[in-house]
Order: sequence, then C-alpha cells, then structure tokens
Amino acid sequence: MNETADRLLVDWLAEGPERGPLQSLERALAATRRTSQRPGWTIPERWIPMQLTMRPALNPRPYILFLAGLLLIVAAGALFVIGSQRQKAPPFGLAANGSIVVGVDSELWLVSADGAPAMPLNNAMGKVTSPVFSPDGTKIAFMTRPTVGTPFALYVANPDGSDAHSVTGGMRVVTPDPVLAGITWSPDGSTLIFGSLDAGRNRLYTVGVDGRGLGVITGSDADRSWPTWSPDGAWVAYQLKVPDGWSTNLAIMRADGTGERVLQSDEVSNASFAGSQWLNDSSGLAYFKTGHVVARTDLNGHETILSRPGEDAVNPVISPDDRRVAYGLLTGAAIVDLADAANRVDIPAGLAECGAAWAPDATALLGLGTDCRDLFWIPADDPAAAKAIRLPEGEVTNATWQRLAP
Amino acid sequence: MSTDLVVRAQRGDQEAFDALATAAYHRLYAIARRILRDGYAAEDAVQDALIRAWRDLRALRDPERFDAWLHRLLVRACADQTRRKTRRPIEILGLEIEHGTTDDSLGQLIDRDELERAFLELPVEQRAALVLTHYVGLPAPEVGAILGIPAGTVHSRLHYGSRAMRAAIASPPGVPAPSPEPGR
Repeated sequence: MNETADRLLVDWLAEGPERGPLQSLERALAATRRTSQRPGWTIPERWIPMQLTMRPALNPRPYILFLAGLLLIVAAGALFVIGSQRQKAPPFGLAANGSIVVGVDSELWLVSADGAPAMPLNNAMGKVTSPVFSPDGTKIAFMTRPTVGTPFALYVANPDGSDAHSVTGGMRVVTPDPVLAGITWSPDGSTLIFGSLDAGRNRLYTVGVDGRGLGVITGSDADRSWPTWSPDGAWVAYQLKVPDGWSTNLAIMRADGTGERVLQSDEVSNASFAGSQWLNDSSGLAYFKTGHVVARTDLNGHETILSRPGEDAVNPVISPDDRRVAYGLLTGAAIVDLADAANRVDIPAGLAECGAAWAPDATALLGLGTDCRDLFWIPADDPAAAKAIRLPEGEVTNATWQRLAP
Repeated sequence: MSTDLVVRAQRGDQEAFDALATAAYHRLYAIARRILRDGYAAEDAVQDALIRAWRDLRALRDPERFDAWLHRLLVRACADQTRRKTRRPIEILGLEIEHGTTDDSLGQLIDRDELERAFLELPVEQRAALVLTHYVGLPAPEVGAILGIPAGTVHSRLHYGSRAMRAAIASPPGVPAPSPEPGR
C-alpha cells in the first residue's frame, strides 16, 4: 500500500507545467535591474554560520504569561462591560476602534495596540481560522474544525469568545483555502455568506446568524468564492471562474444568488480577485490583478488604475471614510489619496507588505509585516511611528478590528 | 551553471546574472509551482528569489554552490508566499476528479481535492522536501543542504509528509488525517 501510494504521490507531483511564463521572467529581471547589490561585508551569512543567524525560539515564562493573561482577562472583561453598554456602530463608514482579534496558527487571540501581551480567545474550540467581526461589532464569525484535515463548521460568538456556537449544523464546510476562508456579514448582521467546496466546485452558501435558512445560493456551473457583501446590502461581490475558461472574473449578484454580472475580467486563469473590497458608499470595489496592479471598478465595469505604473502593488484596503487606499508593495506599502494620487504616504519596509486593515476610525492601519508573522499598529499620517503589537509566534492568517459606535 | 558567470555577477555584471537567472528560471518555476500549487504565487516566489539572489549574491562564499543557494532562496520565497497569500487563494492544480476510473485499483479512492488539501496543509518545509526529493530527484544530503537542515531531518520530514499524503490517498473525505508532525 505504502509503495503504491508513494508512486501515486510521485506521479501527482510530476503533473503540471514544466515551464513558467516568460513575461514573468522578464518582470523578475527588470526588478533585479532596479535593485542594488548589497556589499558582501554587510551580509551576516558571509561571516557567520547560517544557524547562528536564525531567530532564536522564544523561551516563554509561564508564570509571567499567566499573570499578564489574568490582568488582560480582567481588563478585557472591564472593557467588554463598558463596551456592551454602548450603542451599536453603523454598518459602514467611520466608527470607534474596538477590540482586535487575530488568527495565529489556527488560534484566535485578542491583541492590543498598547503593548500588552496577546490573550487567547476561547481556543478550546479546535483549529480556528478567519475571524470576522460583524459590522456592528457585536458578534464575531469564524471557521473551526476539530483537527487538521477535517471539514470546518461556521461559528458565531460574542466578541470575548463566549457563547460560541455552530450556525452550519452538520454541514461539512470545506473551504477553498484552509488558512483563510471567505466569510462575509450582511450589513445588518443578520446573515452570513461563505464559500465551501462541493464535489470540487466552490459554491456560496447563506445562513442566518441564528442558524436558520442554511442553503446554497450559487450553482455548480462555475467556481464562485471569496464573497464580500456591499455596505448597502444590495450586492455580493465574489471571484468567478468558469470551468475550462481562461479568465478570472470579479462578479456581483444579489444576496439570493440572482442577477449575476461580471464587472472585471482578467485573462489569466490563475488571477485573483480574492482581495476585492467595497468602497463604503457601495459605488464600486478595489482589487489587484495580474501584474500586481491595484485598481477600482464601478458597478458598470469602468476601471480606474490606482497604483503607479511599474509598482508591484497588492491587497488594497479602502479607508472607512472612502478617502484613501492602502496597498502593499514588494518592499514597503503606500497610502494614496483616492481623489489626488499625488497625495501619498509611504509606509516603511517590513510593516505591511503582507497585508493591512484600516482602523474603524481611519487614523491607523494594522500591518501584517513582511511575511504575515507580525502585527504593527501604523499611524496613517506618520507610518514611521509604527509600533509592534505583541503576538504569539506563528502565521497570522488575518486580523479583524471591532467597530464601535462613535 | 558556469562558475565564471557567478563570479562576474558577484562583481555586479547584470548580464551575467540575467544569463544565470534565465537558465534557472523554468526549473525554479516548476519547483515553486509544485510547492505552492498556485501558478500566480509561484511566479511571485521565483521573482522574489531572483531579486534576493541578485541583491545578496556577494554573500555566496562558494560560487560552485550557486544552484543549491538559489534553491534555498526559492524555498524561503515559497515560505513567504504561503504567508503572504492572505488575499491570494490557492489555485487547485491537477486533474479533475474522475470517478469510476477502473485502470488503477486506487483510482476510485482518490479524491484529488483531498490530496491537494492534504499537501497544502503540510508545512512548506515538508512540501519542499517532498518536491525536491520526489520531483527534482535530489538525494537527502543535497535536499538538506538546500533546506539548511541535516539529512536525518530531511528523512524525518519526508516520513511525516509521506504519511500525511498516504492518509489522504487512503482515507475517504472527512476522515481526519494525522498531524503533519508530532506536536503541530
């Protein structure tokens, strides 16, 4: 059995293209021409054995972590009591900054920008990923499963992790990406839409936050994934791939699955519209496409390029006041005024190449660092004053910031 | 690979580096694509690896080891891609599910989605060990040199990686596969 399985593995690994696109090589060589070589003496690997240049593992001190965790639990509890007495935030636009929940290596952590250690958020629920706060900040949704390799279930909980319960019952949710699932809330917080593989095809499902009304809303004729609900509730945008087709599309439909129409099409089968994000006035979406170009489209499919020519720009995020867009670059990141592209703030290298999320009050960003293993609080008007947020070691899947009433 | 080209590139000769990169490109892409299972991310990983290679070429003490060093940069770039793909979904690579295939006794049992998912849930270092061993055909000491680990650790990664993949091949969908490595 092992021999046969290993042979199948070898055959499976042999499948696929042997040659890469030449235009990609040309882009890479062009990028090297824009890059300066580092002097040899500045590179530690030249002088020190590689093992000594690796980052040492952290040596946790349990009693310190326990005391800090206890203090944080008390602080978070007090914050929650205070927070629960506030009015709900409106579903879009500017809001006050609430808690920050981060997914790190299949666990959820409550983190703080004030330098306090991260606090686990009910991590007894199994392997948890893709936390997303509801628009009014009163609930958090996430995918969880008992162990790696098993299907997920969609859960909803209070912001402190309490009252966590499945809303998908016995459904075996199989996300297209085991690290980051596509979950989107309706603006009124009553309904969720999420993606799941069904016989190899990504389909979109809807379910009420109370677990009622679970059902599939897209057919098996194409892959539809990474849904995102418009702030006005009228549309759901998603990535559309037609089988055997050669394009990847950004499409919208009504929340019941009707009225599908394509807004943008990228003539590359492995392009991505996974990072599409609505403008808060629901007039269009921002996205990045092949060649790492950041753009926006209106609902008639009219495209406007937002990044500079030649920039390696990905993962755009629109500020809650619709004034600015931030996006990652190969090195560093940028914040650009949507009305005046010349009005631009550069984010230093190492803070947000891997992705970013705006604070609900639009004064700061959460940056995921160069390789999604760090988290930084980045003031939007002075990125050089960024501060590291303390996190457990591991891969940061995403960060979600609770919106509170202003 | 010409040592002379490496030495010239280390002295800042861009044309020499272009020749080295062009010669290695398709091989690097094929490896990255198999580790990441995503053509788009593979292009990014190769580009990152080539940029780092040019930038840090003077760190390479032995020009004869250029290929192994470049592969190491590629595996690091693949690891970065798996972390950077926060907004980049995995492209499902490979054949469609073919239920009812009879020319292979295991054919009916294999759900390629499960195989794909099991592979993608392995740590990128295990994926790299599997690809460098079973696709590129490198011996364990050479894989170890690329990954910066002892040959024994390569064998260990291959063991746990292969075990997880075998479980995915043999198990019906939904049955838990073993953890990729103890303690993970």
